Amino acid sequence: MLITCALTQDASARSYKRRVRAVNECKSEKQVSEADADKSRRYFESGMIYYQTKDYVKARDEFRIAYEISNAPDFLVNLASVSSKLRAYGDAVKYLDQYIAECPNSPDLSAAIQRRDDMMIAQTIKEGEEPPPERIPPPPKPALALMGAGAGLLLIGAGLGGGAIAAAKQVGAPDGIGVVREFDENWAAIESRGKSLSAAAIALDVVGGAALAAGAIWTGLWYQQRDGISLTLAPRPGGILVLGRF
Amino acid sequence: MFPQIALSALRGLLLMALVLSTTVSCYNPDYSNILYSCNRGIECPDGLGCFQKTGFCAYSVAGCREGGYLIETDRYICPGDANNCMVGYGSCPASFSVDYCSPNPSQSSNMDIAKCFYCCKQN
Repeated sequence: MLITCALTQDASARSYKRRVRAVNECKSEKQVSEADADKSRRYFESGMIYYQTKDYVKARDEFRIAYEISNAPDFLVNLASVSSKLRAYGDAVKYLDQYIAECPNSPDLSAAIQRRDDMMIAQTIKEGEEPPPERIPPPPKPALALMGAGAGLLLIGAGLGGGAIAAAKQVGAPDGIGVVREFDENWAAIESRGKSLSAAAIALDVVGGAALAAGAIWTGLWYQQRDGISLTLAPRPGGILVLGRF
Repeated sequence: MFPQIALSALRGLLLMALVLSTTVSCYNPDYSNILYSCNRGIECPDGLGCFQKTGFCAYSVAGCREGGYLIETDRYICPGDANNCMVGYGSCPASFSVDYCSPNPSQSSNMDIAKCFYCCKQN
């Protein structure tokens, strides 16, 4: 298979079979079957249609598949061009570098090098326009773990408390209008279970609340030291005034 | 990105946990709809006393001689046919009732339904 073309000055996507390459222009090309060559050409043509309709993402995908099938270096130029349209200048540089390495004797080598340099400049400008997002480190892991454990204990406590309430509702629910119930061993067992669940729930809530508060204070202090966040509690008639700066 | 998402999730979790834990933590049965008789004459649900003369579990209240339940301010229901009103309390002028009590101790025909006195503070 031979896909031939020349790099145009505007580095737009190439047409199929625009020029026949000389034998030594590029390093050895992958030998592909007629069927694969035909398949690759169809992807190329599809990519060109997408390119012309400015659907550059789909065009890039089609060119990429065409290149994977045929390994024809001309597709690298197409991929560079479409990457440029997508403002993925780093990718464009990568494809052009690959093309320059693959086809060191190509007559459009200087144009490719020039285009690669242009892409590098564009990439630098783009990076200057978009400062890297500030990486905000998370709070200390032990503080998060403490808060997580506290919240977990509170939730378990809430679940046990729900069991206690269910037992209380069972004990307080009438069997029917006017029915007097004897307080026997079964009801005593339900009551005992409810009281145990309630005690466990309260204990877990206390421990969980303490862990949660400790983790929250730790995290708050960490943020305060890092960002100067402040939180002030001031007693006021009828409540507490919470003042914060974030 | 991590702190915003993680802290928002954590905040929601904490709020939910706190709300749940503060609302769902107590064993506190409501005895306003059920009347217990004492098992073997001694055992009653926690907080209630066994009144031997009536055989019912009840609170010690100001309006009943043998225990009862506060229905409204100064209005008590006193289960048991030997459970008269305390001094200073008498039969209530306006009727009120609960499901487990016969409105008149002498008219109860259902053996399950307790005979009760309804005692209100006398002015």
